[in-house]
Amino acid sequence: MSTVYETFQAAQQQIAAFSDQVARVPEENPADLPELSRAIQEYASTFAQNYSEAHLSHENSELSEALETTRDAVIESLGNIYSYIESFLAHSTQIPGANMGPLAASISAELTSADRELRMALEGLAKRGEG
Amino acid sequence: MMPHSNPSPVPPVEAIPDAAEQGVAERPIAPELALPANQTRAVGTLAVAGESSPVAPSTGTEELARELDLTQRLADQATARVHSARINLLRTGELPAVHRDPEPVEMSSASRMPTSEMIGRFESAHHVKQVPKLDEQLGDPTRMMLFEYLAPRQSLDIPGPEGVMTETDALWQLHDFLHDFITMSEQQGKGGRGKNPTLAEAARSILESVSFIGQPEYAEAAQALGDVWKDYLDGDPERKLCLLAGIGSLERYDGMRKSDDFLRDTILSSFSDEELEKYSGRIVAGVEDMDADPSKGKIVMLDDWSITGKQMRDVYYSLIDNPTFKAYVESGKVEINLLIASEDRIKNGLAVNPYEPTHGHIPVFAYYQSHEAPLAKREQRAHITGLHSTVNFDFSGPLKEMAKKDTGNYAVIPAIARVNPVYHFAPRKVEITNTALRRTDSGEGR
Repeated sequence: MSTVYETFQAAQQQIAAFSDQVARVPEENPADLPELSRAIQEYASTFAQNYSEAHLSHENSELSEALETTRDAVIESLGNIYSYIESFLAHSTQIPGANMGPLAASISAELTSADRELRMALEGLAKRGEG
Repeated sequence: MMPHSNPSPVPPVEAIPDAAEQGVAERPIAPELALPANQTRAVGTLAVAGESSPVAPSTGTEELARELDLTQRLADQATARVHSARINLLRTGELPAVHRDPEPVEMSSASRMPTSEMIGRFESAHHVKQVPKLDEQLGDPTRMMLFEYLAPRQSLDIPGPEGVMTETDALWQLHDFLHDFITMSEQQGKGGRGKNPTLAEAARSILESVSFIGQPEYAEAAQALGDVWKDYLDGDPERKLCLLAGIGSLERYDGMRKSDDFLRDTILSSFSDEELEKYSGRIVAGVEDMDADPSKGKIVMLDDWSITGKQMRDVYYSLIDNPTFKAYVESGKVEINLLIASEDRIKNGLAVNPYEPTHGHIPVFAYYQSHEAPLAKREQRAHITGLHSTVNFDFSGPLKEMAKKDTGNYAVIPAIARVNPVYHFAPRKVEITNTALRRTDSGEGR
């Protein structure tokens, strides 16, 4: 069973991987967007599940609200990305040729936001001896 | 008898059911939400003030109500059938006599308090009032605003618009869905514990404690925020106000407006032409336009609500290296204005770092305080949602789970949990520059 710290650390790595993927999508193959959307949606479920099974190294109830905030923020970011892609697909009659720059920027901004929330959490946990 | 049928999309013009056919006055409320014996389900009089005027009399609130009206958007989208149905309803302008209350009810203004009192409460208590309970909202069949809802999401299918529904029907559909889920759970469970006890508790929690921002609440709160801002500016001619719709201006999906931008535009477009001129140059949209000393200005981070707080923190962190923003933060002149927030947020503000309380909190002011829902999982402990947009956390999320347990698919998720956000592609009506507030071609003069 993983610790909360490990769960957040793994999420940070996964988000970095998504960032790399997003950076490549517009140039390489825009038709990969639905697949990316699916992967992000699936990871949101996996992350929520991993978090629910994770534990703290030490008894520390004062952290619970902050941890929930981090969990929700990450899920919110992933959910927003999913919505952005859905909306883009719904309003773009032809994906190849559509201007994907704004979409990529939107997704990157969400990933950056999730990364920031996770970074605050990892620092906060490390400070409390949970790292 | 508890109704089970789901309201259907608005039918063609010739077949619009009247309120009696829709069962407005005959629907019993679940025992959890029974109205007090002396409370009747008052029905306001819908009067006709012209084709584009849904209700009379005309007030500032009504102006805002019109901003939220989906009619133009539906027409733009060539959904002529729906448009015609709505126009017909407006032309008819009447509910059947059996529902007519002798005392006309002014939509969303009946419960409003004097402006000075409202502003006093807003500033001292950081909120003005509790949002109405669902039972009050169910008892108000004047909520005839149409909203568009999306088809249930099935795997990666793109959920397109499925239909439109009135606010009243949507609230009743939500009520019936939750009530039926609780009943089903109790009946099907074994050993007295009930089936899906956790979800049944969530259903009961939403039924009893949902904090719903319908059209009247949105209009009333938006009107109030506008009054608060005007009062601030009128207090000193040198004051400036930065209305930061920061979420929409982040590097997000270009062309898709967000709730903050829409709310700001809705409020400003309700200003009279004279007011727009009067506040030109004193209301700005960007931190870079705040040339006033922090003692003569305020930066307002605006949105309808803040559930996890992440989006507001996004705005904060995107600006904190800006010297002007930083100076305003350090002077305590940055605040969050919302339509609704929880008691905790209102009292404590929003932590800029949830793990480091000493790093500071941004003060939160909201027109409505939400109902406390201890079973809600998120920090705010509330089930907040609205007619203009659906909240996933602690609202549509659990409703989807209930629908899955109930039927194995998402077919019966109430429409109010799948609102097509009204603001995504609505045209902007007021342009804000550092020197002027100007109506765009989409904004009518006042």
